[in-house]
Amino acid sequence: MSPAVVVGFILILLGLYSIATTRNLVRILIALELVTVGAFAALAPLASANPGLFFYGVLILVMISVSEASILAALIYRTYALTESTDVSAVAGGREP
Amino acid sequence: MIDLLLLSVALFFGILTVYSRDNVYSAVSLASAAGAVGAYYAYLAQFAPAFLVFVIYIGAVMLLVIITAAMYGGVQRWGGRYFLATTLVFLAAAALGAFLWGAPPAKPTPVQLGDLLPAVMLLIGVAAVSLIVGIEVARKA
Repeated sequence: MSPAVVVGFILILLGLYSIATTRNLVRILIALELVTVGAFAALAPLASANPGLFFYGVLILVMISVSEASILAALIYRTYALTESTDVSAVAGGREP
Repeated sequence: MIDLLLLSVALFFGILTVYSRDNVYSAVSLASAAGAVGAYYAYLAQFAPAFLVFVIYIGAVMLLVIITAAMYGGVQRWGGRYFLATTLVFLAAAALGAFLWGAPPAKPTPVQLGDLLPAVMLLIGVAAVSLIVGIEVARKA
């Protein structure tokens, strides 16, 4: 297996670990982006097999990361405006009783 | 060897992203990891994807993440150990990269189609872990 795939999956697992262990929305945003960076690394072996598909894969990944970052950033700003905190626990609405 | 060096730097900064306590240092480490992956793309002579990573991803997304981290959390303490570790890694990687630049390039190994099967299995494993993490986070929130 390519070293890029191994590094990519380690980065993805590190990001998932960080998401699981934090309650801070900013850290969740950073961890999600770390998962994206891992996906970038894991995609690298495709470059020699099919460069065209690789380019479109990177393009789609960049677009996905832009949208997820903007949505999560808006969520952080809104949560802070409402609760003066970036802690997920501060958001009580929509929770099951 | 330069590819392994770049991937090791990306892994180092990825670990630093998770284990930095300050949000800004964590975000800067993340941008450095993304930069290392972009440099790896450039090393593979994939200049259009490297351009996408450097300009769109680091220039827009990483900027958003760093600014958000600076607004909410910011720098809580002087990161002496962080700067020492990153400077040492940067200097070591630069020295090793300059040394390897002069070495004769190794012949790239072609990707076999059979290599995709373990990647698919790992992808399924990551999807399962993601599902478990999602359920646990939802239960905790």
